[in-house]
Amino acid sequence: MERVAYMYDSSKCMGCRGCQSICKEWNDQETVPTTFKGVYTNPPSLNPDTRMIIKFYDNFTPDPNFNFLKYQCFHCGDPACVKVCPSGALFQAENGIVAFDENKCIACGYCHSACPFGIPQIGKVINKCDMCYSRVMEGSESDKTSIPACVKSCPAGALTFGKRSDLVEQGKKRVEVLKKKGYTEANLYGENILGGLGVLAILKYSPEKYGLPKEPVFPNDIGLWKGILHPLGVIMLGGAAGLVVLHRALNLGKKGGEQ
Amino acid sequence: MAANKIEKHKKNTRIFHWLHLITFIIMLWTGFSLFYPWTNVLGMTFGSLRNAAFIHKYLGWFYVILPIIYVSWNFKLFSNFFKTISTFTPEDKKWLSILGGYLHPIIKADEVPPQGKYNAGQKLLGWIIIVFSILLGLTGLIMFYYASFPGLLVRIAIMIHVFCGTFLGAAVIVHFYLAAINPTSNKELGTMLGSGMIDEDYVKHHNALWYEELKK
Ligand code: SF4
Ligand code: SF4
Repeated sequence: MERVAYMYDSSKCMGCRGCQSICKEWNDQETVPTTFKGVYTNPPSLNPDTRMIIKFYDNFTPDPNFNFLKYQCFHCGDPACVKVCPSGALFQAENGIVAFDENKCIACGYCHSACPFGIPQIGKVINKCDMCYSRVMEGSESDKTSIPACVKSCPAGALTFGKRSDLVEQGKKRVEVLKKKGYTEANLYGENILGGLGVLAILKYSPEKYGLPKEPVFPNDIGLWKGILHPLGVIMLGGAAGLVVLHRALNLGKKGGEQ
Repeated sequence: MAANKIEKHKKNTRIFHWLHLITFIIMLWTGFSLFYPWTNVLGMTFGSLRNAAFIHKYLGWFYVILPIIYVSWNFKLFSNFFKTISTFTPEDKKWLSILGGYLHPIIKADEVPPQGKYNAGQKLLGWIIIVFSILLGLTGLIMFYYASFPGLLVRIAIMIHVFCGTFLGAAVIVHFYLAAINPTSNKELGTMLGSGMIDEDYVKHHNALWYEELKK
């Protein structure tokens, strides 16, 4: 199955937060009052009831306009969260979507600590963008309802959903246009990092300005966990049990071992 | 043989020992099912993996708080114990080099050096339990409040936690075997389980140095 993705064009986004509202609506999430802290980003961060937020930036010089970032799970091609989830709650679908089965989540939070962006939020169970897994999987290809709710809702045409390879091509073209317009830092975020992100972002400025790591790293230390500590644990526990059984069976320590 | 009895473990110590051990076993059992979800049977003991996780997380608090209560309540007992396990004598060294003779004749040991109240193996176990339990508690806290710590620290904590847990589990298996099953030393179980008293003859033989000390 071909990998799907959606692309967010921050140069077209107008910060209406329609996507943010529809995300809550579709996923049936609570809205909790917040306090105004001098920035328009609201709620101030992802939380167990909020899968995505539009971040507002009003301090990019020399640009006098607002800048926005749609912030949520990026659906890594190589998702660390899936690798560490001990209960198998998180999984990567054939089409690349990183979704989860909340009935399996044990709320350990390992995914949160492994994700290079710290995306998964855990309340009673995990909460994060699943690219509207149920919508995307249910619809047929020609059926335009089978796209994520946020993409469907965007009035500015800042969101497009489709085959990832197509989107990468389109995104690159758009970046060229922006560069010609004078945004020399313009870039397509997520083309190659972390196995290629399933959420691509067209940015006018360098990713760091939006609080995104330019080169996010896959936490290799988690390989130690499954590669070494899993077998080591079995060896230690099994070894101790084996030693004990052996000792008893062979009647060892008969002569010494008085202490 | 109506032998004289000597008190080895005080009542509070015995209560603490068993409460802590039972807690540890549940923690090991639930932790094992979380670390190795393929051992579905273990998770199933609690209905589901999620219940196992819940028990593991919240019982963890008890596991940490219990020794704190015990030590502050019985500070003298503990400091005596601590002094005992902190002094390693030449006899202890010899004991360790032949592993107490438990593996005779694989490791040759025709004579086992006389030991104090605790033999070198027990002293070592004391240290392992104290150090690893503290590490388990600290890393467990970091894991409990994972959202307040940097991801790398949490992941390192998880690895230390897992290592300490499985190692301690292995140590406790050996400890239990020697204290409860192994014929030459299984009297220890009764001491811990029952009145805390132990036969004088047994002490004379197993803890000769301690016996001398008591006779002084
Ligand atoms: S961004 Fe984080 S939560 Fe989303 S797929 Fe990647 S690792 Fe998982
Ligand atoms: S919190 Fe849930 S989804 Fe995340 S790693 Fe733990 S079990 Fe998996």
